[in-house]
Amino acid sequence: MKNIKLRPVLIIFALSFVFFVGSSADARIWEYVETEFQTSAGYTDNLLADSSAVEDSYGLGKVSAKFYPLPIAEILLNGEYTNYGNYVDLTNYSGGVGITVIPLKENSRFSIYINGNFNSRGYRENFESFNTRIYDGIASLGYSVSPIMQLRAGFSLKSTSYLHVLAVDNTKYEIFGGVNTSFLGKNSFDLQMGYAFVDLTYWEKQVWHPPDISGAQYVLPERTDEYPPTDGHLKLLQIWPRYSRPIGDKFAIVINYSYRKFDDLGEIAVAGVTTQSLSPWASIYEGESISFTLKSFFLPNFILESGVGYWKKNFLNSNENRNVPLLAKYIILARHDEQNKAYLTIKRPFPLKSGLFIEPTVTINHTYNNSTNAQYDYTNLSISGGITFRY
Amino acid sequence: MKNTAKSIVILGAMLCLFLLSGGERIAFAGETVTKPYVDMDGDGFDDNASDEDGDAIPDAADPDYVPAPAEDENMSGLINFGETLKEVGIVEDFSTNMQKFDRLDFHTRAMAQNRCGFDAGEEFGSEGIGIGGSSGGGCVGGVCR
Repeated sequence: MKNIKLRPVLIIFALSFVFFVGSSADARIWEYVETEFQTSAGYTDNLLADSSAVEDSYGLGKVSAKFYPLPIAEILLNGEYTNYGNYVDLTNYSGGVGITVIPLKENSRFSIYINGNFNSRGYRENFESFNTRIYDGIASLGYSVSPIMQLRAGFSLKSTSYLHVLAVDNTKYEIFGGVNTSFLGKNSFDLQMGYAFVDLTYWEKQVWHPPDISGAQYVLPERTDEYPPTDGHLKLLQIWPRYSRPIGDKFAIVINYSYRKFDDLGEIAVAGVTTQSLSPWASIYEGESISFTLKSFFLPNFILESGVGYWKKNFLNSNENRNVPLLAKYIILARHDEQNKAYLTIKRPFPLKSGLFIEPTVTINHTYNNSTNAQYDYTNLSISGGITFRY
Repeated sequence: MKNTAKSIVILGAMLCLFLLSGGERIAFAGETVTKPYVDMDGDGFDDNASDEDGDAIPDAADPDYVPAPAEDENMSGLINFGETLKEVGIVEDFSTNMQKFDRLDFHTRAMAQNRCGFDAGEEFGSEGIGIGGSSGGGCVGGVCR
């Protein structure tokens, strides 16, 4: 437990107390509170999702409590603790609070959804640079044109602060609109379009030197403090159509396509933080994807879900800190990935008459990532088993 | 060229059959189907399908589900008090705050997620360390999990 701060752990224990001890309280409390406890254990052959291919096992505990002071409001408290078997420095905790308000009546054609959350995550000393505080929120308006068609539009933001690395702090703003409709009986089509902005700090191309080493596009001078980064923002356009339908009573298919493109982006490079699974830039890319998902109830009382997907991702250039003899310490790397993913999830829900809901889950994931940056050429197989208790 | 056109016609006909199939929803005895097929949570199944025991498996696919027996109108010749009460009974919502919120939450299920953000698509297969369960239980029977 060395270097792990005590406060979030206490929050987790307090929430566990609500879950396990609270059941003996006045039954009416459960009209206002819903608690959930989840635990899981798993193994991955590529913990950091990069070419290092670090194998490890992990255990995770998660507790949450939802409070309903009013019929239109939900307050969420949650805590999470993840422990790693070999890579112990990656052990981390998180705690958060959130509120959701839905102020209009359910039979109204209009709907309003407002949600805000705060979450803090902390790592041990060697990974403290990845400690984050995240604020996120979403506000959206819906209009039911008919029982089978709903229009929606909204705004969301997510602000991530890295407590020890200021150059990678970012705030993402997104506006979006969409439509969902059914047609020809049991066919569903959903289209969403969005425009997103992110504040970021970057180096412009003028300060890069010509490339002279394998794998590097450009080279920065050794002393980056003589060439300070500039502040700006990046814009992303995204279109995401989805088709879905059931096949009989026990099978359903979903096909998703997405297209995303940076708008008016010059040649820039951002500060690299090279642990892929924790990188602030892992979700900032342009490209396209297509995925196919099958959900099934063909095994009695089980929920099976499996999917395959293909992603093409062009990431931002990153300014990586490397030991390159006779040249420079920092190099600018470009990265273009092609990724294939497949997964299978099996769940067995047990809704008990006492009101307790228990659900064991097993998940298998496989990812194959092919990248122009050798650091991100990797495969990843992960297997996890977990159980959820909800009351 | 002729073969290509023929293939396109056959594929088109098959696509039409696929899209048009399954338009009718199966109703159990005693169940009145009033809501059309809608899939806003994106799992392919009807969000409005009934789920009596709340296990996120629609009753039509749930072996635990026992349909309520149909009322036998010829059971007796006496007064049907239930029918009378339906007409004059007091209509009041005795749901808890949580149940009321769940219904509102169901109503806004398509609005609660922004599928076009920078993080969109990252949840596919929940590759990261976590509980698993790629898309939760989905929405069924008027509740989202």
